[in-house]
Amino acid sequence: MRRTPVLAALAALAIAPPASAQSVLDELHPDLRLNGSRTVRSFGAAGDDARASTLPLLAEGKAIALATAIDPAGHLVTKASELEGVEAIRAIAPGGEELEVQVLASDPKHDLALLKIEAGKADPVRWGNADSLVQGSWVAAMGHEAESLTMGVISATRREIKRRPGVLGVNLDPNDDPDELGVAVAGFGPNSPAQKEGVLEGDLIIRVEDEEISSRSQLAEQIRKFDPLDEVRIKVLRGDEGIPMTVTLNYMSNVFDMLDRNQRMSGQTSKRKAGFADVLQHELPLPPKAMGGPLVSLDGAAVGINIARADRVTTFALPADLVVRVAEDLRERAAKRDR
Amino acid sequence: MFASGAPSGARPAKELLEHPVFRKQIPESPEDLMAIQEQVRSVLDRAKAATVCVLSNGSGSGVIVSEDGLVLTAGHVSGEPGKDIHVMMPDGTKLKAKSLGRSAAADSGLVQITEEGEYPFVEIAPPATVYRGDWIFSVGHPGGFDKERGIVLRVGRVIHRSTDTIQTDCKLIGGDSGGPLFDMLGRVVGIHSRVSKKDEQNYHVTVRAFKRDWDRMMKGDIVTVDDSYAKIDRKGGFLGVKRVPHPQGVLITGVVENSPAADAKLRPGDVITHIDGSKVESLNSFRALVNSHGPGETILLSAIKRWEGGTKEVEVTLGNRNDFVPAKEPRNGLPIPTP
Repeated sequence: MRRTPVLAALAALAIAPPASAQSVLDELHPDLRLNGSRTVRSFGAAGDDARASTLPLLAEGKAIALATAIDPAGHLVTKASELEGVEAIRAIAPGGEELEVQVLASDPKHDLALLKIEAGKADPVRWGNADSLVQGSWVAAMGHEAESLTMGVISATRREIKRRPGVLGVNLDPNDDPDELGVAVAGFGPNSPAQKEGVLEGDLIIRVEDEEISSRSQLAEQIRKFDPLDEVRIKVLRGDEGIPMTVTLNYMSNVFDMLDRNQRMSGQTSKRKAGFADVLQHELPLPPKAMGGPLVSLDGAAVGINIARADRVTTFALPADLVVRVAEDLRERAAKRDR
Repeated sequence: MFASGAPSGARPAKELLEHPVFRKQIPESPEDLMAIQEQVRSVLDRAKAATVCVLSNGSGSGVIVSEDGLVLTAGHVSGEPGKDIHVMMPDGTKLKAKSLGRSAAADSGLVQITEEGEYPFVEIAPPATVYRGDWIFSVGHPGGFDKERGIVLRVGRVIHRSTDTIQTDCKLIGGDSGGPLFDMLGRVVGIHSRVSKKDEQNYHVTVRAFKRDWDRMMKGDIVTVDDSYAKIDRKGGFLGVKRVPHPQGVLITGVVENSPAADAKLRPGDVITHIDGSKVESLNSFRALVNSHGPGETILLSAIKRWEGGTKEVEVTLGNRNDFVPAKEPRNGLPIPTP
């Protein structure tokens, strides 16, 4: 798939040189800045509420995400796509105790997973009403460390974020005439799943699932139907040999972010940052491993669950009403299965 | 736009705001934060109505400051003077516009909407009315225009201000360039220009820099580093002290690393009373006495030593300012990556 031109890639913003020694002398002290240690204290009891319901998740001793305690029975929710490929997940309770975590169910559509720890180990969140928020409302959430309360404002309109399909990670030659034999692979993007599976430069992609491929747009259209991590059967023609393969599509972010200027300016972002039916947008500069925790308003109520760090200025949260609904479905699904 | 000569009644923004949080070192409670939120909300709609997307060198932002559609933006967004470009209103209406002049020294730029109309506009704050620690907010079109999302808000504080640049902790990304920085009264105090590696440390051109080069930019000139006022005014040798007035001369509040002042062991707390035997009467007389000597010339200072005690005569050989203050070359950022 060729990279589609993104307006953001052309968007202008220059990089400044490091501050001169002169200006460092009278900069505002870091403690007093928006996310300075003294400023975030002004969030008061609401900050404590966020802390009490947030549980860091670890796998092999490494931070992977945060979870939100949603009931006294020990149910947690988190960002499902951060659990892909990890095993033996542990949660750290507010008291510091390391707890075993069971993954009960997962909802790929909303990217939420339901987890279970021992009952009574964490305070469940008090859900708030996301409809009470306006652009400019203060919100806060925990990062992955104890002293990492982070604050900012609701920064844009609540809305849907369109899905980003999975990608093969192949470059196609735009000057290549449509060839009835298939579409020629001209190169690979970074972390290309097609390359990983053994596709070579010069191979002709002749089939995706049961569809014969004869043009670049047709190939793109077929692949667009699939999500990241979907297994897709393709057939390539190498010389006169037809080779069937099964490629596990990658996230668009994993393949294309390092080619996107705004993404490169953004440091680490979530691999899944699109395909959400309803999100709140805020400006908290949280790392991707701090997704899954509660987003609280000034009164300490959880107005949502952080679901994706999208770029340097954007973090998405699923609104509380949606999370409550999905969590209820997941609980029912898990209960039915256990019966 | 700017009254000629010094602006009258230019009072600091925080003096014009009622709530005590704007005079506190930090907000101390959720009530204090709510006061900031409400102050932003009270001016946000007008601020957004005047904020536009500038389509010239890629996609940037800008702000309308006159009823007939004069737009402040960044010089690296408006680009070459006299070019036919477009400006997009918040509702997506695309208007014809022309780039006027820009300053390569400060990264300020002007654009005129050429379609007749009565446009929503905001006031430009008098120069130098925001200070370190003041609350401010940023808006813009990060990543380009997105009607569903709308204009994106960020709230923060002034970290540092110099003649041409305000540094804040408002987060910026590609597409924000040229967008407005507002004080809490909803007046434009800066234009987004550059980012640093840290998310919460970004740079805006001051309205003072706009004012300085205003007439030449309106004529469509490109103001270069060599003919900027700042350069002409600072042709003298460089000492390297930050200072404030003192009854006996000027009090040193900071010393630039490795500067002639640092070599001469001048320290914060010392008071410079005489230069070459002439009494230092004021900040202006200090500046004039130093500036009457060029780089490489040696001057004799009398200083009351705060830490060693007593008065000391110190010989200092002045340096070249450009070795210590970063050159204000246009910083046109990273090349657009090629896949």
